[in-house]
Amino acid sequence: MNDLDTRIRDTLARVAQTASATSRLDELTARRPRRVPALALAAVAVVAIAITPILLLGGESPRAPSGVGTGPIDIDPSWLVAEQEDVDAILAATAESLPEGLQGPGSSTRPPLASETAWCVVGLPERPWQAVMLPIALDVAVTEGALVEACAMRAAEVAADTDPPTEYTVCRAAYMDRTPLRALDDMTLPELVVVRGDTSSPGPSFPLVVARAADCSTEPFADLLPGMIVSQGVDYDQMSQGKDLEIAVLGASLRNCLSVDEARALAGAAHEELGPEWLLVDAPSFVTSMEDRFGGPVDESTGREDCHGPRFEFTLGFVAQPSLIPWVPSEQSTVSTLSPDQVEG
Amino acid sequence: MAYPASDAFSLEERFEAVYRREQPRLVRLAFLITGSNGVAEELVHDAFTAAYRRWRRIDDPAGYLYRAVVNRSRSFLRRRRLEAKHRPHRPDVVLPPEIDEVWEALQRLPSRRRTALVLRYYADLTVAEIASYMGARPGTVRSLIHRGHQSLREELGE
Repeated sequence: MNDLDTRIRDTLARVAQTASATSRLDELTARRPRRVPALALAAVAVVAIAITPILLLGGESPRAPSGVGTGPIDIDPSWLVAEQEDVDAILAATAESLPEGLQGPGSSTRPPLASETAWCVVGLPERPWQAVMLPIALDVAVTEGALVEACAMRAAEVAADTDPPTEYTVCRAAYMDRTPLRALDDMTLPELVVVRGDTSSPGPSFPLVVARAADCSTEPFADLLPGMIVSQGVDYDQMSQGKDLEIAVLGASLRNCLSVDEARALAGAAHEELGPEWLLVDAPSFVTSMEDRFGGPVDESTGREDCHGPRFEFTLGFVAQPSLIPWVPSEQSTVSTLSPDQVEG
Repeated sequence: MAYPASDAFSLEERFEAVYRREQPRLVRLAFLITGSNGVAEELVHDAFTAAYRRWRRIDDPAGYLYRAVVNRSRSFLRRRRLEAKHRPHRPDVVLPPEIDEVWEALQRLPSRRRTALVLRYYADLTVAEIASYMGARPGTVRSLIHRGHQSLREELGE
Protein backbone atom coordinates (compact mmCIF):
# COMPACT_ATOMS: atom_id res chain seq x y z
CA MET A 1 0.00 0.00 0.00
CA ASN A 2 1.47 3.32 -0.99
CA ASP A 3 1.28 6.63 0.75
CA LEU A 4 -1.69 7.88 -1.22
CA ASP A 5 -3.65 4.73 -0.46
CA THR A 6 -2.98 5.26 3.20
CA ARG A 7 -3.98 8.89 3.08
CA ILE A 8 -7.23 8.07 1.30
CA ARG A 9 -8.04 5.31 3.74
CA ASP A 10 -7.23 7.42 6.78
CA THR A 11 -9.15 10.40 5.48
CA LEU A 12 -12.25 8.39 4.74
CA ALA A 13 -12.13 6.65 8.08
CA ARG A 14 -11.67 9.92 9.92
CA VAL A 15 -14.39 11.77 8.04
CA ALA A 16 -16.77 8.84 8.39
CA GLN A 17 -16.45 9.08 12.13
CA THR A 18 -17.96 12.55 12.03
CA ALA A 19 -21.22 11.22 10.62
CA SER A 20 -24.12 10.71 12.95
CA ALA A 21 -26.70 8.04 12.30
CA THR A 22 -29.90 8.56 14.20
CA SER A 23 -31.92 5.38 14.40
CA ARG A 24 -35.38 5.62 12.90
CA LEU A 25 -36.18 1.98 13.30
CA ASP A 26 -39.39 2.78 15.16
CA GLU A 27 -40.71 4.67 12.16
CA LEU A 28 -40.35 1.57 10.08
CA THR A 29 -41.64 -1.04 12.46
CA ALA A 30 -44.25 0.93 14.41
CA ARG A 31 -47.05 -0.14 12.08
CA ARG A 32 -46.83 -3.76 13.03
CA PRO A 33 -47.68 -5.28 16.40
CA ARG A 34 -44.56 -6.02 18.28
CA ARG A 35 -43.64 -9.29 19.84
CA VAL A 36 -42.49 -9.68 23.36
CA PRO A 37 -39.60 -7.23 23.71
CA ALA A 38 -37.45 -9.72 25.52
CA LEU A 39 -37.74 -12.16 22.68
CA ALA A 40 -36.90 -9.51 20.16
CA LEU A 41 -33.90 -8.39 22.12
CA ALA A 42 -32.74 -11.93 22.48
CA ALA A 43 -33.17 -12.49 18.78
CA VAL A 44 -31.24 -9.37 17.93
CA ALA A 45 -28.50 -10.36 20.27
CA VAL A 46 -28.27 -13.87 18.91
CA VAL A 47 -28.32 -12.73 15.30
CA ALA A 48 -25.77 -10.06 16.00
CA ILE A 49 -23.51 -12.60 17.61
CA ALA A 50 -24.03 -14.98 14.75
CA ILE A 51 -23.14 -12.50 12.07
CA THR A 52 -20.25 -10.82 13.77
CA PRO A 53 -17.56 -13.34 12.85
CA ILE A 54 -18.80 -13.37 9.30
CA LEU A 55 -19.33 -9.71 8.76
CA LEU A 56 -16.70 -7.91 10.66
CA LEU A 57 -13.61 -8.27 12.66
CA GLY A 58 -14.13 -5.05 14.53
CA GLY A 59 -17.33 -3.44 15.62
CA GLU A 60 -16.74 -0.30 13.59
CA SER A 61 -15.16 -1.87 10.57
CA PRO A 62 -16.93 -0.72 7.47
CA ARG A 63 -16.36 -3.94 5.58
CA ALA A 64 -19.44 -4.58 3.50
CA PRO A 65 -20.86 -8.02 2.96
CA SER A 66 -19.68 -10.06 0.07
CA GLY A 67 -21.59 -12.18 -2.38
CA VAL A 68 -23.86 -9.38 -3.47
CA GLY A 69 -25.70 -9.81 -6.68
CA THR A 70 -25.85 -13.56 -6.72
CA GLY A 71 -29.47 -13.78 -5.72
CA PRO A 72 -32.61 -12.55 -7.43
CA ILE A 73 -32.94 -8.81 -7.68
CA ASP A 74 -35.98 -7.23 -6.14
CA ILE A 75 -37.41 -4.14 -7.65
CA ASP A 76 -39.63 -1.55 -6.11
CA PRO A 77 -43.21 -2.22 -7.28
CA SER A 78 -43.78 1.51 -7.54
CA TRP A 79 -41.32 1.53 -10.43
CA LEU A 80 -44.08 0.05 -12.56
CA VAL A 81 -46.58 2.81 -11.84
CA ALA A 82 -46.36 6.06 -13.78
CA GLU A 83 -46.32 9.10 -11.57
CA GLN A 84 -45.81 12.78 -12.16
CA GLU A 85 -42.31 12.37 -10.78
CA ASP A 86 -41.54 10.07 -13.68
CA VAL A 87 -42.70 12.59 -16.23
CA ASP A 88 -40.74 15.30 -14.45
CA ALA A 89 -37.64 13.14 -14.47
CA ILE A 90 -37.97 12.43 -18.17
CA LEU A 91 -38.43 16.09 -18.99
CA ALA A 92 -35.58 17.16 -16.74
CA ALA A 93 -33.23 14.58 -18.17
CA THR A 94 -34.22 15.66 -21.63
CA ALA A 95 -33.46 19.25 -20.81
CA GLU A 96 -30.06 18.21 -19.56
CA SER A 97 -29.25 16.18 -22.62
CA LEU A 98 -30.25 18.75 -25.18
CA PRO A 99 -27.45 20.68 -26.75
CA GLU A 100 -27.29 24.25 -25.64
CA GLY A 101 -29.52 26.51 -27.66
CA LEU A 102 -32.12 23.92 -28.51
CA GLN A 103 -35.59 24.03 -27.14
CA GLY A 104 -36.38 22.51 -23.81
CA PRO A 105 -38.74 19.85 -22.53
CA GLY A 106 -41.89 19.33 -24.49
CA SER A 107 -40.40 20.60 -27.69
CA SER A 108 -40.21 18.62 -30.86
CA THR A 109 -36.51 18.17 -30.24
CA ARG A 110 -37.12 15.87 -27.32
CA PRO A 111 -36.30 12.27 -28.17
CA PRO A 112 -39.64 10.49 -28.07
CA LEU A 113 -40.44 7.44 -26.08
CA ALA A 114 -41.22 4.40 -28.14
CA SER A 115 -44.85 4.70 -27.09
CA GLU A 116 -44.97 8.26 -28.29
CA THR A 117 -44.40 7.25 -31.86
CA ALA A 118 -46.81 5.85 -34.40
CA TRP A 119 -46.73 5.79 -38.16
CA CYS A 120 -48.93 7.53 -40.62
CA VAL A 121 -49.12 6.03 -44.07
CA VAL A 122 -50.35 8.60 -46.51
CA GLY A 123 -51.87 7.82 -49.87
CA LEU A 124 -52.25 10.62 -52.35
CA PRO A 125 -53.62 10.46 -55.88
CA GLU A 126 -50.93 9.88 -58.46
CA ARG A 127 -48.27 9.51 -55.84
CA PRO A 128 -46.67 6.55 -54.10
CA TRP A 129 -47.63 5.79 -50.53
CA GLN A 130 -45.55 7.64 -48.01
CA ALA A 131 -44.89 6.83 -44.38
CA VAL A 132 -44.33 9.61 -41.90
CA MET A 133 -43.66 9.40 -38.20
CA LEU A 134 -46.33 10.53 -35.77
CA PRO A 135 -45.13 12.00 -32.52
CA ILE A 136 -47.63 11.52 -29.73
CA ALA A 137 -47.13 13.84 -26.79
CA LEU A 138 -46.07 12.40 -23.48
CA ASP A 139 -49.25 13.52 -21.77
CA VAL A 140 -51.63 12.44 -24.49
CA ALA A 141 -53.37 9.11 -24.17
CA VAL A 142 -53.21 6.74 -27.10
CA THR A 143 -56.67 7.01 -28.60
CA GLU A 144 -58.06 6.74 -32.08
CA GLY A 145 -58.88 10.44 -32.04
CA ALA A 146 -55.38 11.47 -31.05
CA LEU A 147 -53.83 9.25 -33.70
CA VAL A 148 -56.10 10.49 -36.47
CA GLU A 149 -55.56 14.10 -35.48
CA ALA A 150 -51.80 13.69 -35.55
CA CYS A 151 -51.91 11.83 -38.86
CA ALA A 152 -54.16 14.48 -40.39
CA MET A 153 -51.64 17.17 -39.54
CA ARG A 154 -48.80 15.22 -41.06
CA ALA A 155 -50.83 14.22 -44.08
CA ALA A 156 -51.63 17.86 -44.72
CA GLU A 157 -47.92 18.62 -44.72
CA VAL A 158 -47.22 15.76 -47.09
CA ALA A 159 -50.07 16.73 -49.39
CA ALA A 160 -48.59 20.17 -49.87
CA ASP A 161 -50.02 21.33 -53.19
CA THR A 162 -52.94 18.94 -53.26
CA ASP A 163 -55.92 18.15 -51.09
CA PRO A 164 -55.01 16.25 -47.96
CA PRO A 165 -56.78 12.98 -47.26
CA THR A 166 -60.07 13.12 -45.44
CA GLU A 167 -60.42 9.48 -44.51
CA TYR A 168 -58.33 7.88 -41.84
CA THR A 169 -58.30 4.35 -40.56
CA VAL A 170 -56.31 3.17 -37.62
CA CYS A 171 -54.88 -0.28 -38.05
CA ARG A 172 -52.52 -2.48 -36.16
CA ALA A 173 -49.31 -3.58 -37.75
CA ALA A 174 -46.87 -6.33 -37.05
CA TYR A 175 -43.95 -7.86 -38.80
CA MET A 176 -43.95 -11.40 -39.98
CA ASP A 177 -41.94 -13.96 -38.13
CA ARG A 178 -39.12 -14.47 -40.52
CA THR A 179 -36.01 -13.07 -38.96
CA PRO A 180 -34.43 -14.52 -35.86
CA LEU A 181 -33.75 -12.23 -33.00
CA ARG A 182 -30.06 -12.48 -33.50
CA ALA A 183 -30.53 -10.19 -36.45
CA LEU A 184 -30.83 -7.49 -33.85
CA ASP A 185 -27.19 -8.03 -32.99
CA ASP A 186 -26.06 -6.42 -36.18
CA MET A 187 -28.67 -3.77 -36.35
CA THR A 188 -27.60 -0.29 -37.22
CA LEU A 189 -29.88 2.66 -37.19
CA PRO A 190 -32.00 3.35 -38.99
CA GLU A 191 -32.76 0.40 -41.14
CA LEU A 192 -35.55 -1.94 -41.86
CA VAL A 193 -35.81 -4.52 -39.17
CA VAL A 194 -38.09 -7.47 -39.13
CA VAL A 195 -38.46 -9.18 -35.84
CA ARG A 196 -40.22 -12.22 -34.62
CA GLY A 197 -43.78 -11.53 -33.66
CA ASP A 198 -47.08 -13.28 -33.68
CA THR A 199 -49.07 -11.44 -36.27
CA SER A 200 -52.11 -13.62 -35.77
CA SER A 201 -52.72 -12.69 -32.19
CA PRO A 202 -54.69 -9.62 -31.22
CA GLY A 203 -51.89 -8.69 -28.90
CA PRO A 204 -48.91 -6.49 -29.18
CA SER A 205 -48.94 -4.22 -32.12
CA PHE A 206 -48.33 -0.61 -32.78
CA PRO A 207 -50.90 1.58 -34.39
CA LEU A 208 -50.56 2.52 -37.97
CA VAL A 209 -52.82 5.24 -39.29
CA VAL A 210 -53.68 4.94 -42.92
CA ALA A 211 -54.74 8.13 -44.57
CA ARG A 212 -57.16 7.83 -47.49
CA ALA A 213 -58.00 4.20 -46.96
CA ALA A 214 -61.24 2.77 -45.79
CA ASP A 215 -59.93 -0.49 -44.45
CA CYS A 216 -56.81 -2.10 -43.12
CA SER A 217 -55.11 -3.93 -45.91
CA THR A 218 -51.45 -4.57 -46.43
CA GLU A 219 -51.74 -4.65 -50.18
CA PRO A 220 -51.73 -0.93 -51.03
CA PHE A 221 -48.40 -0.29 -49.39
CA ALA A 222 -46.79 -3.69 -49.50
CA ASP A 223 -43.77 -2.25 -51.24
CA LEU A 224 -43.45 0.47 -48.68
CA LEU A 225 -43.68 -1.81 -45.66
CA PRO A 226 -42.28 -5.16 -46.75
CA GLY A 227 -42.91 -7.91 -44.30
CA MET A 228 -45.49 -5.97 -42.41
CA ILE A 229 -48.97 -7.30 -41.86
CA VAL A 230 -51.64 -4.69 -41.38
CA SER A 231 -54.99 -5.61 -39.93
CA GLN A 232 -57.81 -4.23 -37.88
CA GLY A 233 -58.16 -4.15 -34.14
CA VAL A 234 -55.86 -1.78 -32.33
CA ASP A 235 -56.11 -2.37 -28.62
CA TYR A 236 -55.99 1.15 -27.23
CA ASP A 237 -56.13 0.01 -23.64
CA GLN A 238 -53.10 -2.12 -24.26
CA MET A 239 -51.30 0.72 -25.93
CA SER A 240 -52.13 3.07 -23.08
CA GLN A 241 -50.96 0.50 -20.60
CA GLY A 242 -47.75 0.15 -22.53
CA LYS A 243 -47.27 3.87 -22.60
CA ASP A 244 -47.90 4.27 -18.88
CA LEU A 245 -45.53 1.43 -18.17
CA GLU A 246 -42.85 2.85 -20.40
CA ILE A 247 -43.09 6.21 -18.67
CA ALA A 248 -42.94 4.50 -15.29
CA VAL A 249 -39.98 2.33 -16.20
CA LEU A 250 -38.02 5.12 -17.84
CA GLY A 251 -38.83 7.43 -14.94
CA ALA A 252 -37.68 4.82 -12.44
CA SER A 253 -34.51 4.30 -14.45
CA LEU A 254 -33.82 8.01 -14.38
CA ARG A 255 -34.63 8.52 -10.71
CA ASN A 256 -32.67 5.51 -9.57
CA CYS A 257 -29.29 4.65 -10.94
CA LEU A 258 -29.98 1.05 -11.85
CA SER A 259 -27.37 -1.61 -12.20
CA VAL A 260 -27.47 -3.99 -15.11
CA ASP A 261 -29.11 -6.66 -12.97
CA GLU A 262 -31.69 -4.25 -11.63
CA ALA A 263 -32.51 -3.03 -15.12
CA ARG A 264 -32.91 -6.60 -16.25
CA ALA A 265 -35.17 -7.37 -13.31
CA LEU A 266 -37.21 -4.28 -14.08
CA ALA A 267 -37.60 -5.35 -17.70
CA GLY A 268 -38.81 -8.74 -16.54
CA ALA A 269 -41.31 -7.16 -14.20
CA ALA A 270 -42.54 -4.85 -16.95
CA HIS A 271 -42.94 -7.85 -19.20
CA GLU A 272 -45.03 -9.58 -16.58
CA GLU A 273 -47.21 -6.51 -16.32
CA LEU A 274 -47.79 -6.37 -20.04
CA GLY A 275 -48.56 -10.03 -20.46
CA PRO A 276 -46.99 -13.01 -22.15
CA GLU A 277 -48.07 -11.98 -25.62
CA TRP A 278 -45.54 -9.19 -25.54
CA LEU A 279 -42.19 -10.17 -26.83
CA LEU A 280 -39.37 -9.99 -24.36
CA VAL A 281 -36.00 -9.82 -26.00
CA ASP A 282 -32.97 -10.63 -23.96
CA ALA A 283 -30.17 -10.36 -26.44
CA PRO A 284 -26.75 -10.25 -24.81
CA SER A 285 -25.51 -7.93 -27.48
CA PHE A 286 -28.03 -5.42 -26.27
CA VAL A 287 -26.50 -5.28 -22.86
CA THR A 288 -24.63 -2.09 -23.31
CA SER A 289 -23.53 0.75 -21.20
CA MET A 290 -22.08 4.11 -21.91
CA GLU A 291 -18.66 2.59 -21.50
CA ASP A 292 -19.27 0.13 -24.30
CA ARG A 293 -20.82 2.67 -26.57
CA PHE A 294 -18.01 5.13 -26.19
CA GLY A 295 -15.25 2.61 -26.39
CA GLY A 296 -13.87 3.16 -22.95
CA PRO A 297 -14.63 4.47 -19.50
CA VAL A 298 -16.79 7.52 -19.66
CA ASP A 299 -15.72 10.57 -17.80
CA GLU A 300 -18.55 11.79 -15.68
CA SER A 301 -17.79 15.33 -16.65
CA THR A 302 -19.64 14.54 -19.84
CA GLY A 303 -22.79 14.20 -17.77
CA ARG A 304 -23.22 10.52 -18.44
CA GLU A 305 -23.55 7.88 -15.81
CA ASP A 306 -23.12 4.16 -15.87
CA CYS A 307 -26.79 3.69 -15.20
CA HIS A 308 -29.14 1.45 -17.08
CA GLY A 309 -32.76 0.89 -17.88
CA PRO A 310 -34.98 -1.39 -19.92
CA ARG A 311 -35.87 -0.23 -23.36
CA PHE A 312 -39.31 -0.45 -24.81
CA GLU A 313 -39.49 -0.90 -28.50
CA PHE A 314 -43.03 -0.85 -29.72
CA THR A 315 -41.93 -0.40 -33.29
CA LEU A 316 -40.00 -3.64 -33.18
CA GLY A 317 -42.87 -5.85 -32.33
CA PHE A 318 -43.87 -4.36 -29.06
CA VAL A 319 -41.10 -5.45 -26.90
CA ALA A 320 -40.25 -4.77 -23.34
CA GLN A 321 -36.70 -5.86 -23.56
CA PRO A 322 -33.94 -5.78 -21.03
CA SER A 323 -31.58 -4.36 -23.51
CA LEU A 324 -29.82 -1.76 -21.55
CA ILE A 325 -29.51 1.81 -22.48
CA PRO A 326 -27.81 4.71 -20.86
CA TRP A 327 -30.08 6.95 -18.92
CA VAL A 328 -29.36 9.96 -21.08
CA PRO A 329 -32.40 10.32 -23.34
CA SER A 330 -30.36 11.54 -26.25
CA GLU A 331 -28.90 8.07 -26.43
CA GLN A 332 -32.32 6.48 -26.30
CA SER A 333 -32.73 6.09 -29.99
CA THR A 334 -35.97 4.64 -31.14
CA VAL A 335 -35.23 2.09 -33.77
CA SER A 336 -36.83 2.99 -37.00
CA THR A 337 -38.54 0.22 -38.85
CA LEU A 338 -38.23 2.06 -42.10
CA SER A 339 -35.20 2.90 -44.11
CA PRO A 340 -34.39 6.60 -44.42
CA ASP A 341 -35.58 6.91 -47.96
CA GLN A 342 -38.92 5.47 -46.95
CA VAL A 343 -39.56 7.95 -44.21
CA GLU A 344 -40.25 11.58 -44.25
CA GLY A 345 -40.30 13.90 -41.32
CA MET B 1 -23.76 -11.79 3.04
CA ALA B 2 -26.75 -13.79 4.14
CA TYR B 3 -28.14 -13.23 7.57
CA PRO B 4 -29.31 -16.31 9.43
CA ALA B 5 -32.83 -17.13 8.39
CA SER B 6 -33.70 -19.29 11.29
CA ASP B 7 -37.35 -20.00 11.94
CA ALA B 8 -36.69 -18.98 15.50
CA PHE B 9 -36.72 -15.35 14.46
CA SER B 10 -39.56 -13.48 12.90
CA LEU B 11 -39.01 -11.43 9.81
CA GLU B 12 -39.35 -8.30 11.86
CA GLU B 13 -36.78 -9.43 14.34
CA ARG B 14 -34.36 -10.14 11.57
CA PHE B 15 -35.10 -6.78 10.05
CA GLU B 16 -34.31 -5.10 13.33
CA ALA B 17 -31.09 -6.99 13.64
CA VAL B 18 -30.01 -5.97 10.18
CA TYR B 19 -31.08 -2.39 10.79
CA ARG B 20 -29.15 -2.03 14.01
CA ARG B 21 -26.10 -3.55 12.46
CA GLU B 22 -26.06 -1.95 9.06
CA GLN B 23 -27.75 1.41 9.40
CA PRO B 24 -24.86 3.31 10.99
CA ARG B 25 -22.41 1.79 8.55
CA LEU B 26 -24.59 2.61 5.58
CA VAL B 27 -25.06 6.18 6.73
CA ARG B 28 -21.31 6.63 6.92
CA LEU B 29 -20.89 5.12 3.48
CA ALA B 30 -23.56 7.38 1.97
CA PHE B 31 -22.07 10.35 3.78
CA LEU B 32 -18.70 9.75 2.18
CA ILE B 33 -20.28 9.52 -1.26
CA THR B 34 -22.72 12.42 -0.99
CA GLY B 35 -20.81 14.66 1.39
CA SER B 36 -23.90 15.33 3.48
CA ASN B 37 -24.77 13.63 6.74
CA GLY B 38 -28.41 14.67 6.52
CA VAL B 39 -28.79 13.42 2.99
CA ALA B 40 -27.03 10.21 3.91
CA GLU B 41 -29.45 9.54 6.75
CA GLU B 42 -32.43 10.17 4.50
CA LEU B 43 -31.12 7.97 1.71
CA VAL B 44 -30.44 5.13 4.09
CA HIS B 45 -33.85 5.53 5.69
CA ASP B 46 -35.46 5.41 2.27
CA ALA B 47 -33.52 2.27 1.41
CA PHE B 48 -34.61 0.57 4.62
CA THR B 49 -38.20 1.69 4.04
CA ALA B 50 -38.19 0.11 0.60
CA ALA B 51 -36.53 -3.01 1.94
CA TYR B 52 -39.01 -3.31 4.79
CA ARG B 53 -41.93 -3.37 2.37
CA ARG B 54 -40.62 -6.47 0.68
CA TRP B 55 -38.46 -7.92 3.37
CA ARG B 56 -39.92 -11.38 2.94
CA ARG B 57 -38.64 -11.60 -0.62
CA ILE B 58 -35.12 -10.34 -0.09
CA ASP B 59 -32.61 -13.15 0.09
CA ASP B 60 -29.55 -11.05 0.78
CA PRO B 61 -30.63 -8.11 2.92
CA ALA B 62 -27.23 -6.56 3.47
CA GLY B 63 -26.25 -6.84 -0.16
CA TYR B 64 -29.59 -5.42 -1.20
CA LEU B 65 -29.22 -2.49 1.16
CA TYR B 66 -25.67 -1.70 0.17
CA ARG B 67 -26.56 -1.65 -3.48
CA ALA B 68 -29.65 0.44 -2.79
CA VAL B 69 -27.70 2.98 -0.80
CA VAL B 70 -24.92 3.25 -3.37
CA ASN B 71 -27.46 3.72 -6.14
CA ARG B 72 -29.49 6.24 -4.17
CA SER B 73 -26.36 8.18 -3.33
CA ARG B 74 -25.37 8.32 -6.97
CA SER B 75 -28.90 9.27 -7.95
CA PHE B 76 -28.77 12.08 -5.42
CA LEU B 77 -25.55 13.39 -6.92
CA ARG B 78 -27.03 13.20 -10.36
CA ARG B 79 -30.14 15.10 -9.30
CA ARG B 80 -28.01 17.67 -7.59
CA ARG B 81 -26.07 18.18 -10.77
CA LEU B 82 -29.31 18.52 -12.70
CA GLU B 83 -30.65 21.03 -10.23
CA ALA B 84 -27.43 22.96 -10.31
CA LYS B 85 -27.87 23.41 -14.03
CA HIS B 86 -31.27 24.95 -13.67
CA ARG B 87 -31.05 26.88 -10.45
CA PRO B 88 -28.72 29.45 -9.00
CA HIS B 89 -25.81 27.73 -7.33
CA ARG B 90 -26.41 27.25 -3.66
CA PRO B 91 -24.28 24.74 -1.81
CA ASP B 92 -26.52 22.28 -0.01
CA VAL B 93 -23.91 19.88 1.18
CA VAL B 94 -22.77 20.24 4.74
CA LEU B 95 -19.12 19.39 4.89
CA PRO B 96 -17.62 17.93 8.01
CA PRO B 97 -15.53 20.20 10.18
CA GLU B 98 -12.39 18.15 9.87
CA ILE B 99 -11.79 18.85 6.27
CA ASP B 100 -8.33 18.17 5.08
CA GLU B 101 -6.93 18.48 1.65
CA VAL B 102 -7.49 14.84 0.76
CA TRP B 103 -11.17 15.10 1.68
CA GLU B 104 -11.52 18.27 -0.33
CA ALA B 105 -9.84 16.63 -3.28
CA LEU B 106 -12.09 13.60 -2.93
CA GLN B 107 -15.12 15.87 -2.93
CA ARG B 108 -14.06 17.37 -6.21
CA LEU B 109 -13.80 14.01 -7.96
CA PRO B 110 -16.54 12.96 -10.35
CA SER B 111 -19.04 10.97 -8.36
CA ARG B 112 -18.32 7.64 -10.03
CA ARG B 113 -14.64 7.89 -9.20
CA ARG B 114 -15.40 9.01 -5.68
CA THR B 115 -17.92 6.21 -5.21
CA ALA B 116 -15.41 3.66 -6.43
CA LEU B 117 -12.71 4.98 -4.10
CA VAL B 118 -15.06 5.08 -1.12
CA LEU B 119 -16.16 1.52 -1.73
CA ARG B 120 -12.57 0.43 -2.18
CA TYR B 121 -10.88 2.26 0.67
CA TYR B 122 -13.67 2.74 3.17
CA ALA B 123 -15.94 -0.25 2.64
CA ASP B 124 -12.86 -2.31 1.74
CA LEU B 125 -14.64 -4.09 -1.08
CA THR B 126 -13.01 -6.05 -3.84
CA VAL B 127 -13.17 -4.84 -7.41
CA ALA B 128 -15.73 -7.52 -8.20
CA GLU B 129 -17.91 -6.44 -5.30
CA ILE B 130 -17.66 -2.78 -6.27
CA ALA B 131 -18.62 -3.71 -9.80
CA SER B 132 -21.66 -5.49 -8.45
CA TYR B 133 -22.74 -2.53 -6.33
CA MET B 134 -22.20 -0.01 -9.08
CA GLY B 135 -23.61 -2.12 -11.87
CA ALA B 136 -20.37 -1.73 -13.77
CA ARG B 137 -17.82 -4.11 -15.17
CA PRO B 138 -14.71 -4.90 -13.14
CA GLY B 139 -12.56 -3.29 -15.81
CA THR B 140 -14.55 -0.10 -15.46
CA VAL B 141 -14.10 -0.13 -11.72
CA ARG B 142 -10.37 -0.59 -12.04
CA SER B 143 -10.28 2.31 -14.44
CA LEU B 144 -12.35 4.49 -12.13
CA ILE B 145 -10.04 3.75 -9.22
CA HIS B 146 -6.97 4.36 -11.35
CA ARG B 147 -8.32 7.63 -12.66
CA GLY B 148 -9.38 8.64 -9.18
CA HIS B 149 -5.84 8.03 -8.03
CA GLN B 150 -4.47 10.09 -10.87
CA SER B 151 -6.79 12.98 -10.16
CA LEU B 152 -5.92 12.94 -6.47
CA ARG B 153 -2.20 12.90 -7.18
CA GLU B 154 -2.59 15.92 -9.42
CA GLU B 155 -4.77 17.72 -6.91
CA LEU B 156 -2.42 16.96 -4.06
CA GLY B 157 0.71 17.70 -6.05
CA GLU B 158 2.19 14.27 -5.52
